[in-house]
Amino acid sequence: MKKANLQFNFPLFLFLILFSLGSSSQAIAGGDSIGQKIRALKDENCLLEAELGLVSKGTSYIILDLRTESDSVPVRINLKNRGIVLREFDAERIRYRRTKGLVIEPIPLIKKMAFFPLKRKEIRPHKPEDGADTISQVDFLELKDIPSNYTLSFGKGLLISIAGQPKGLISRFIHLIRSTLIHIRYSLAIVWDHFWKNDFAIIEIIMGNEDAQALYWSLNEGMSIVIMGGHPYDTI
Amino acid sequence: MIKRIAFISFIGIIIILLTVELFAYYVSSDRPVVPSSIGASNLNELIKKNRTLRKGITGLSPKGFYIVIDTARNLIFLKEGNRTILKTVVSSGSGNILRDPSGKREWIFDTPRGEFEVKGKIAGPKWIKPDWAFIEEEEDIPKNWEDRVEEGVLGDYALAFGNGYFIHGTLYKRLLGRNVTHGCIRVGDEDLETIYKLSRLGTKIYIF
Repeated sequence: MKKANLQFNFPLFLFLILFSLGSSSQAIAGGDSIGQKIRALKDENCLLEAELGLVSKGTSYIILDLRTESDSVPVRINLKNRGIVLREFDAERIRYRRTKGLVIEPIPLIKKMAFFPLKRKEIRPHKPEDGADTISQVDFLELKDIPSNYTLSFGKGLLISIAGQPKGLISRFIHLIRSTLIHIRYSLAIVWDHFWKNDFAIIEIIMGNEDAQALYWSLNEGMSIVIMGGHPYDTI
Repeated sequence: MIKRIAFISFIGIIIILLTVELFAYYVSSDRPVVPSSIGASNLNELIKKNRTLRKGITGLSPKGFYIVIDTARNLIFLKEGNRTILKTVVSSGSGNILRDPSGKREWIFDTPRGEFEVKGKIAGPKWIKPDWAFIEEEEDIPKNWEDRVEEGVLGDYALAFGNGYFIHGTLYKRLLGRNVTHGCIRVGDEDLETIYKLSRLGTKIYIF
Protein backbone atom coordinates (compact mmCIF):
# COMPACT_ATOMS: atom_id res chain seq x y z
CA MET A 1 0.00 0.00 0.00
CA LYS A 2 2.80 2.35 0.92
CA LYS A 3 4.67 1.55 -2.29
CA ALA A 4 1.60 2.25 -4.38
CA ASN A 5 1.24 5.63 -2.74
CA LEU A 6 4.91 6.40 -3.25
CA GLN A 7 4.76 5.55 -6.96
CA PHE A 8 1.61 7.57 -7.50
CA ASN A 9 2.86 10.61 -5.66
CA PHE A 10 6.30 10.89 -7.23
CA PRO A 11 5.19 12.59 -10.46
CA LEU A 12 3.08 14.98 -8.42
CA PHE A 13 6.02 15.66 -6.12
CA LEU A 14 8.32 16.28 -9.10
CA PHE A 15 5.74 18.51 -10.73
CA LEU A 16 5.28 20.58 -7.59
CA ILE A 17 9.02 21.09 -7.21
CA LEU A 18 9.46 21.99 -10.88
CA PHE A 19 6.45 24.24 -10.81
CA SER A 20 7.57 26.10 -7.72
CA LEU A 21 11.08 26.52 -9.08
CA GLY A 22 9.87 27.70 -12.45
CA SER A 23 7.30 30.13 -11.23
CA SER A 24 8.29 33.69 -10.84
CA SER A 25 6.59 36.50 -9.07
CA GLN A 26 5.61 39.31 -11.39
CA ALA A 27 4.96 42.03 -8.85
CA ILE A 28 6.13 45.48 -9.70
CA ALA A 29 8.42 47.05 -7.17
CA GLY A 30 6.84 49.97 -5.40
CA GLY A 31 8.40 53.35 -4.82
CA ASP A 32 8.22 56.70 -6.56
CA SER A 33 11.85 57.44 -7.32
CA ILE A 34 12.70 59.33 -10.51
CA GLY A 35 14.71 56.33 -11.66
CA GLN A 36 11.70 54.06 -11.48
CA LYS A 37 9.52 56.60 -13.26
CA ILE A 38 12.07 56.88 -16.05
CA ARG A 39 12.22 53.11 -16.33
CA ALA A 40 8.44 52.89 -16.58
CA LEU A 41 8.36 55.70 -19.14
CA LYS A 42 11.11 54.04 -21.17
CA ASP A 43 9.09 50.81 -21.17
CA GLU A 44 6.01 52.72 -22.25
CA ASN A 45 8.06 54.47 -24.91
CA CYS A 46 9.20 51.15 -26.36
CA LEU A 47 5.64 49.83 -26.32
CA LEU A 48 4.20 52.94 -27.95
CA GLU A 49 6.88 53.00 -30.64
CA ALA A 50 6.29 49.32 -31.38
CA GLU A 51 2.53 49.83 -31.40
CA LEU A 52 2.69 52.88 -33.64
CA GLY A 53 4.61 50.84 -36.21
CA LEU A 54 1.97 48.11 -36.08
CA VAL A 55 -0.96 50.56 -36.10
CA SER A 56 0.32 52.22 -39.26
CA LYS A 57 0.32 48.83 -41.03
CA GLY A 58 -3.36 48.20 -40.19
CA THR A 59 -2.81 44.56 -39.23
CA SER A 60 -4.00 42.89 -36.04
CA TYR A 61 -1.42 42.39 -33.30
CA ILE A 62 -1.10 41.12 -29.74
CA ILE A 63 0.03 43.03 -26.66
CA LEU A 64 1.03 40.89 -23.70
CA ASP A 65 1.80 43.01 -20.65
CA LEU A 66 3.24 40.80 -17.95
CA ARG A 67 3.35 43.72 -15.51
CA THR A 68 -0.38 43.62 -14.87
CA GLU A 69 -0.26 40.31 -13.05
CA SER A 70 -1.18 40.31 -9.38
CA ASP A 71 -3.50 38.22 -7.28
CA SER A 72 -6.54 40.26 -8.22
CA VAL A 73 -5.66 41.51 -11.70
CA PRO A 74 -4.93 38.78 -14.26
CA VAL A 75 -2.46 39.17 -17.08
CA ARG A 76 -4.39 40.14 -20.19
CA ILE A 77 -3.56 39.21 -23.72
CA ASN A 78 -4.95 42.01 -25.86
CA LEU A 79 -5.75 41.44 -29.50
CA LYS A 80 -5.63 44.86 -31.15
CA ASN A 81 -5.89 46.58 -34.50
CA ARG A 82 -5.31 50.31 -35.17
CA GLY A 83 -4.87 50.87 -31.44
CA ILE A 84 -8.32 49.53 -30.51
CA VAL A 85 -8.75 46.41 -28.39
CA LEU A 86 -10.65 43.81 -30.40
CA ARG A 87 -10.69 41.23 -27.61
CA GLU A 88 -9.12 40.68 -24.20
CA PHE A 89 -8.09 37.19 -23.14
CA ASP A 90 -7.46 36.60 -19.42
CA ALA A 91 -4.56 34.35 -18.47
CA GLU A 92 -5.19 32.37 -15.31
CA ARG A 93 -1.55 31.57 -14.73
CA ILE A 94 1.70 32.58 -16.40
CA ARG A 95 5.27 31.37 -16.12
CA TYR A 96 8.05 33.24 -17.86
CA ARG A 97 11.58 32.00 -18.39
CA ARG A 98 14.32 33.15 -20.70
CA THR A 99 18.01 32.88 -21.34
CA LYS A 100 18.70 36.52 -22.21
CA GLY A 101 15.60 38.65 -22.19
CA LEU A 102 13.20 40.08 -24.74
CA VAL A 103 13.43 43.47 -26.33
CA ILE A 104 10.10 45.31 -26.24
CA GLU A 105 9.44 45.24 -29.99
CA PRO A 106 7.14 43.44 -32.47
CA ILE A 107 7.97 39.75 -32.80
CA PRO A 108 6.24 37.86 -35.65
CA LEU A 109 4.33 34.61 -35.14
CA ILE A 110 6.04 31.96 -37.26
CA LYS A 111 4.02 28.85 -36.55
CA LYS A 112 1.11 27.50 -34.53
CA MET A 113 1.90 23.99 -33.34
CA ALA A 114 -0.62 21.59 -31.81
CA PHE A 115 -0.46 17.90 -31.03
CA PHE A 116 -3.87 17.50 -32.66
CA PRO A 117 -3.76 20.15 -35.37
CA LEU A 118 -6.84 21.69 -36.88
CA LYS A 119 -8.28 19.70 -39.79
CA ARG A 120 -10.55 21.33 -42.31
CA LYS A 121 -13.63 19.42 -43.38
CA GLU A 122 -14.35 18.81 -47.02
CA ILE A 123 -17.76 19.49 -48.53
CA ARG A 124 -19.10 16.67 -50.67
CA PRO A 125 -21.26 18.14 -53.44
CA HIS A 126 -24.84 16.91 -53.26
CA LYS A 127 -28.21 17.83 -54.71
CA PRO A 128 -30.47 19.46 -52.10
CA GLU A 129 -33.52 17.34 -51.39
CA ASP A 130 -36.87 19.08 -51.38
CA GLY A 131 -37.93 19.99 -47.86
CA ALA A 132 -34.91 18.35 -46.25
CA ASP A 133 -33.00 20.36 -43.66
CA THR A 134 -29.59 19.61 -45.14
CA ILE A 135 -27.69 22.65 -43.91
CA SER A 136 -27.97 21.82 -40.21
CA GLN A 137 -26.69 18.28 -40.86
CA VAL A 138 -23.44 19.47 -42.42
CA ASP A 139 -20.34 19.13 -40.30
CA PHE A 140 -18.88 22.61 -39.82
CA LEU A 141 -15.57 23.66 -38.37
CA GLU A 142 -16.35 25.30 -35.02
CA LEU A 143 -14.64 26.49 -31.88
CA LYS A 144 -15.00 23.08 -30.23
CA ASP A 145 -12.84 21.59 -33.01
CA ILE A 146 -9.97 23.98 -32.26
CA PRO A 147 -7.10 22.76 -30.07
CA SER A 148 -6.90 24.24 -26.57
CA ASN A 149 -3.32 23.04 -25.95
CA TYR A 150 -0.75 24.33 -28.38
CA THR A 151 2.54 26.15 -28.77
CA LEU A 152 3.09 29.38 -30.64
CA SER A 153 6.53 29.74 -32.15
CA PHE A 154 7.58 33.35 -32.64
CA GLY A 155 10.76 34.90 -34.00
CA LYS A 156 13.77 35.63 -31.75
CA GLY A 157 13.49 32.22 -30.07
CA LEU A 158 10.21 33.03 -28.32
CA LEU A 159 7.85 30.17 -27.58
CA ILE A 160 4.46 30.65 -25.98
CA SER A 161 2.79 27.52 -24.72
CA ILE A 162 -0.97 27.83 -24.21
CA ALA A 163 -2.93 25.30 -22.19
CA GLY A 164 -6.67 25.34 -21.60
CA GLN A 165 -7.87 24.89 -18.02
CA PRO A 166 -8.64 21.18 -17.63
CA LYS A 167 -12.12 20.04 -16.54
CA GLY A 168 -12.66 16.74 -14.77
CA LEU A 169 -10.28 14.42 -12.98
CA ILE A 170 -8.89 12.60 -16.03
CA SER A 171 -8.20 15.74 -18.02
CA ARG A 172 -6.61 17.30 -14.92
CA PHE A 173 -4.30 14.33 -14.65
CA ILE A 174 -3.43 14.49 -18.37
CA HIS A 175 -2.86 18.23 -17.98
CA LEU A 176 -0.53 17.60 -15.03
CA ILE A 177 1.52 15.09 -17.03
CA ARG A 178 1.60 17.34 -20.07
CA SER A 179 2.65 20.39 -18.04
CA THR A 180 5.42 18.41 -16.39
CA LEU A 181 6.72 17.11 -19.73
CA ILE A 182 6.57 20.59 -21.29
CA HIS A 183 8.36 22.03 -18.29
CA ILE A 184 11.11 19.41 -18.52
CA ARG A 185 11.43 19.94 -22.26
CA TYR A 186 11.76 23.70 -21.81
CA SER A 187 14.27 23.31 -18.99
CA LEU A 188 16.40 21.10 -21.24
CA ALA A 189 16.04 23.64 -24.04
CA ILE A 190 17.14 26.48 -21.74
CA VAL A 191 20.25 24.55 -20.70
CA TRP A 192 20.97 23.64 -24.33
CA ASP A 193 20.55 27.21 -25.53
CA HIS A 194 22.64 28.55 -22.68
CA PHE A 195 25.57 26.42 -23.84
CA TRP A 196 25.02 27.23 -27.51
CA LYS A 197 24.42 30.90 -26.66
CA ASN A 198 21.04 31.03 -28.44
CA ASP A 199 18.25 33.40 -27.44
CA PHE A 200 15.40 31.50 -25.88
CA ALA A 201 12.32 32.78 -24.11
CA ILE A 202 9.40 30.71 -22.92
CA ILE A 203 6.06 31.88 -21.69
CA GLU A 204 3.69 29.23 -20.39
CA ILE A 205 0.09 30.40 -20.13
CA ILE A 206 -2.87 28.61 -18.62
CA MET A 207 -6.23 30.07 -19.54
CA GLY A 208 -9.90 29.11 -19.88
CA ASN A 209 -10.52 26.37 -22.45
CA GLU A 210 -12.73 28.46 -24.72
CA ASP A 211 -10.39 31.44 -24.49
CA ALA A 212 -7.46 29.22 -25.47
CA GLN A 213 -9.42 27.90 -28.46
CA ALA A 214 -10.58 31.39 -29.47
CA LEU A 215 -7.03 32.69 -29.24
CA TYR A 216 -5.80 29.89 -31.53
CA TRP A 217 -8.60 30.74 -33.95
CA SER A 218 -7.80 34.46 -33.90
CA LEU A 219 -4.06 34.21 -34.46
CA ASN A 220 -2.61 34.20 -37.94
CA GLU A 221 0.93 33.35 -38.86
CA GLY A 222 2.80 36.58 -39.51
CA MET A 223 0.86 38.45 -36.81
CA SER A 224 3.12 40.29 -34.33
CA ILE A 225 3.28 40.25 -30.57
CA VAL A 226 4.77 42.88 -28.27
CA ILE A 227 5.68 41.72 -24.79
CA MET A 228 6.21 44.01 -21.85
CA GLY A 229 8.47 42.54 -19.17
CA GLY A 230 7.36 41.94 -15.63
CA HIS A 231 10.42 42.87 -13.60
CA PRO A 232 12.14 46.13 -12.78
CA TYR A 233 15.59 46.78 -14.18
CA ASP A 234 18.72 46.60 -12.10
CA THR A 235 20.17 49.67 -13.70
CA ILE A 236 18.68 52.61 -15.59
CA MET B 1 16.13 -7.12 -7.78
CA ILE B 2 14.43 -5.78 -10.94
CA LYS B 3 12.16 -3.66 -8.78
CA ARG B 4 15.18 -2.21 -6.97
CA ILE B 5 16.96 -1.38 -10.26
CA ALA B 6 13.80 0.24 -11.59
CA PHE B 7 13.41 2.27 -8.40
CA ILE B 8 17.05 3.40 -8.41
CA SER B 9 16.78 4.32 -12.12
CA PHE B 10 13.63 6.31 -11.39
CA ILE B 11 15.32 8.19 -8.56
CA GLY B 12 18.36 8.76 -10.80
CA ILE B 13 16.18 10.25 -13.55
CA ILE B 14 14.49 12.53 -11.03
CA ILE B 15 17.84 13.72 -9.69
CA ILE B 16 19.05 14.44 -13.25
CA LEU B 17 15.85 16.31 -14.05
CA LEU B 18 16.05 18.34 -10.86
CA THR B 19 19.66 19.22 -11.66
CA VAL B 20 18.64 20.36 -15.16
CA GLU B 21 15.75 22.31 -13.66
CA LEU B 22 17.98 24.02 -11.09
CA PHE B 23 20.52 24.91 -13.78
CA ALA B 24 17.78 26.22 -16.08
CA TYR B 25 16.40 28.29 -13.22
CA TYR B 26 19.88 29.66 -12.50
CA VAL B 27 20.61 30.69 -16.10
CA SER B 28 17.13 32.13 -16.77
CA SER B 29 17.13 35.89 -16.72
CA ASP B 30 14.13 37.82 -15.51
CA ARG B 31 15.10 41.21 -16.79
CA PRO B 32 13.38 42.81 -19.79
CA VAL B 33 15.64 44.65 -22.21
CA VAL B 34 15.18 48.18 -23.46
CA PRO B 35 16.47 48.80 -27.02
CA SER B 36 19.67 50.82 -27.01
CA SER B 37 18.09 53.41 -29.31
CA ILE B 38 16.09 54.78 -26.35
CA GLY B 39 18.57 57.32 -25.13
CA ALA B 40 16.30 59.80 -23.44
CA SER B 41 16.70 59.83 -19.70
CA ASN B 42 15.08 63.16 -18.93
CA LEU B 43 11.67 62.68 -17.35
CA ASN B 44 9.93 65.56 -19.15
CA GLU B 45 11.48 64.65 -22.45
CA LEU B 46 10.14 61.08 -22.12
CA ILE B 47 6.67 62.24 -21.09
CA LYS B 48 6.54 64.55 -24.11
CA LYS B 49 7.78 61.83 -26.44
CA ASN B 50 5.22 59.32 -25.15
CA ARG B 51 2.41 61.85 -25.47
CA THR B 52 3.35 62.41 -29.11
CA LEU B 53 3.42 58.65 -29.76
CA ARG B 54 0.03 58.19 -28.09
CA LYS B 55 -1.41 60.97 -30.27
CA GLY B 56 0.03 59.23 -33.32
CA ILE B 57 -1.74 55.98 -32.40
CA THR B 58 -5.04 57.73 -31.65
CA GLY B 59 -4.76 59.57 -34.96
CA LEU B 60 -4.67 56.27 -36.82
CA SER B 61 -7.58 54.74 -34.85
CA PRO B 62 -11.03 54.62 -36.50
CA LYS B 63 -13.20 57.72 -36.28
CA GLY B 64 -16.98 57.54 -35.78
CA PHE B 65 -18.77 54.20 -35.98
CA TYR B 66 -16.86 51.04 -36.73
CA ILE B 67 -17.71 47.34 -36.85
CA VAL B 68 -15.86 44.54 -35.03
CA ILE B 69 -16.56 40.90 -35.92
CA ASP B 70 -15.41 38.05 -33.66
CA THR B 71 -15.53 34.92 -35.87
CA ALA B 72 -14.63 32.61 -32.97
CA ARG B 73 -17.69 33.57 -30.91
CA ASN B 74 -19.75 34.62 -33.95
CA LEU B 75 -20.46 38.08 -32.61
CA ILE B 76 -20.69 41.45 -34.29
CA PHE B 77 -20.16 44.74 -32.45
CA LEU B 78 -21.09 48.15 -33.71
CA LYS B 79 -18.90 50.59 -31.81
CA GLU B 80 -18.09 54.24 -31.52
CA GLY B 81 -14.85 54.90 -29.65
CA ASN B 82 -14.94 52.57 -26.64
CA ARG B 83 -18.76 52.55 -26.57
CA THR B 84 -20.62 49.50 -27.86
CA ILE B 85 -23.77 50.58 -29.70
CA LEU B 86 -24.87 47.07 -30.69
CA LYS B 87 -23.73 43.53 -29.96
CA THR B 88 -25.41 40.59 -31.61
CA VAL B 89 -24.89 37.06 -32.83
CA VAL B 90 -23.91 36.30 -36.44
CA SER B 91 -22.84 33.39 -38.63
CA SER B 92 -19.38 33.47 -40.17
CA GLY B 93 -17.23 31.32 -42.46
CA SER B 94 -17.29 27.53 -42.02
CA GLY B 95 -13.64 26.97 -42.87
CA ASN B 96 -14.70 24.02 -45.03
CA ILE B 97 -13.12 23.09 -48.34
CA LEU B 98 -14.92 22.50 -51.63
CA ARG B 99 -13.11 20.98 -54.60
CA ASP B 100 -14.22 21.28 -58.19
CA PRO B 101 -14.79 17.71 -59.47
CA SER B 102 -12.51 18.58 -62.39
CA GLY B 103 -9.74 19.04 -59.80
CA LYS B 104 -8.77 22.43 -61.21
CA ARG B 105 -10.23 24.64 -58.50
CA GLU B 106 -10.61 24.66 -54.74
CA TRP B 107 -12.43 27.00 -52.37
CA ILE B 108 -11.80 27.50 -48.64
CA PHE B 109 -14.81 29.09 -46.99
CA ASP B 110 -13.06 31.29 -44.45
CA THR B 111 -14.20 34.75 -43.44
CA PRO B 112 -11.27 37.02 -44.28
CA ARG B 113 -9.58 38.64 -41.28
CA GLY B 114 -8.05 42.03 -40.77
CA GLU B 115 -9.10 45.58 -41.49
CA PHE B 116 -11.72 46.29 -44.15
CA GLU B 117 -14.16 49.07 -44.94
CA VAL B 118 -17.70 49.30 -46.21
CA LYS B 119 -17.36 49.56 -49.98
CA GLY B 120 -20.99 49.31 -50.92
CA LYS B 121 -24.47 49.59 -49.35
CA ILE B 122 -27.24 47.67 -51.05
CA ALA B 123 -30.94 47.64 -50.13
CA GLY B 124 -32.87 44.60 -51.41
CA PRO B 125 -29.73 42.75 -52.53
CA LYS B 126 -29.80 39.94 -55.07
CA TRP B 127 -27.34 37.10 -54.88
CA ILE B 128 -25.28 36.52 -58.00
CA LYS B 129 -24.44 32.87 -57.39
CA PRO B 130 -20.76 32.14 -57.93
CA ASP B 131 -19.48 28.89 -59.52
CA TRP B 132 -18.99 27.15 -56.17
CA ALA B 133 -22.70 27.49 -55.32
CA PHE B 134 -23.56 25.36 -58.37
CA ILE B 135 -20.74 22.87 -57.79
CA GLU B 136 -21.80 22.43 -54.17
CA GLU B 137 -25.32 21.47 -55.31
CA GLU B 138 -24.14 19.30 -58.19
CA GLU B 139 -25.65 21.62 -60.76
CA ASP B 140 -24.28 22.71 -64.12
CA ILE B 141 -22.69 26.14 -64.11
CA PRO B 142 -24.98 28.40 -66.17
CA LYS B 143 -23.67 30.27 -69.18
CA ASN B 144 -26.14 33.15 -68.84
CA TRP B 145 -25.59 35.74 -66.15
CA GLU B 146 -29.36 35.96 -65.49
CA ASP B 147 -29.44 32.31 -64.42
CA ARG B 148 -27.12 33.12 -61.53
CA VAL B 149 -29.40 35.69 -59.92
CA GLU B 150 -31.30 34.60 -56.82
CA GLU B 151 -33.56 36.95 -54.88
CA GLY B 152 -34.48 37.03 -51.20
CA VAL B 153 -31.64 34.91 -49.79
CA LEU B 154 -29.48 37.84 -48.62
CA GLY B 155 -32.17 39.56 -46.53
CA ASP B 156 -33.14 43.21 -46.83
CA TYR B 157 -29.70 44.80 -46.78
CA ALA B 158 -26.10 44.02 -47.63
CA LEU B 159 -22.83 45.79 -46.86
CA ALA B 160 -20.01 44.91 -49.26
CA PHE B 161 -16.51 44.85 -47.84
CA GLY B 162 -14.52 43.66 -50.84
CA ASN B 163 -13.68 40.56 -52.88
CA GLY B 164 -17.32 39.46 -53.01
CA TYR B 165 -17.77 39.36 -49.22
CA PHE B 166 -20.84 40.93 -47.60
CA ILE B 167 -22.50 41.49 -44.27
CA HIS B 168 -26.07 40.49 -45.12
CA GLY B 169 -29.32 38.99 -43.80
CA THR B 170 -30.24 35.33 -43.73
CA LEU B 171 -33.05 32.83 -44.16
CA TYR B 172 -31.28 30.46 -41.75
CA LYS B 173 -31.84 32.34 -38.48
CA ARG B 174 -31.55 29.16 -36.40
CA LEU B 175 -27.93 28.90 -37.52
CA LEU B 176 -26.94 32.32 -36.18
CA GLY B 177 -24.08 31.79 -33.74
CA ARG B 178 -22.51 29.03 -35.82
CA ASN B 179 -19.76 28.97 -38.40
CA VAL B 180 -21.79 27.94 -41.41
CA THR B 181 -21.29 30.50 -44.19
CA HIS B 182 -19.12 30.57 -47.28
CA GLY B 183 -17.20 33.54 -45.86
CA CYS B 184 -19.87 36.26 -45.65
CA ILE B 185 -21.30 37.47 -42.34
CA ARG B 186 -24.98 36.70 -41.80
CA VAL B 187 -26.90 38.90 -39.37
CA GLY B 188 -30.51 38.81 -38.11
CA ASP B 189 -32.94 41.23 -39.83
CA GLU B 190 -33.45 43.89 -37.10
CA ASP B 191 -29.79 44.14 -36.15
CA LEU B 192 -28.79 44.25 -39.81
CA GLU B 193 -31.07 47.23 -40.33
CA THR B 194 -29.40 49.12 -37.45
CA ILE B 195 -25.91 48.30 -38.75
CA TYR B 196 -26.92 49.26 -42.29
CA LYS B 197 -28.38 52.60 -41.22
CA LEU B 198 -25.47 53.63 -39.01
CA SER B 199 -22.74 52.54 -41.44
CA ARG B 200 -21.47 54.73 -44.21
CA LEU B 201 -19.22 54.05 -47.16
CA GLY B 202 -15.74 53.87 -45.64
CA THR B 203 -16.90 52.66 -42.19
CA LYS B 204 -14.11 50.47 -40.88
CA ILE B 205 -14.67 46.74 -40.29
CA TYR B 206 -12.28 44.73 -38.10
CA ILE B 207 -12.54 40.97 -38.38
CA PHE B 208 -10.60 38.51 -36.23
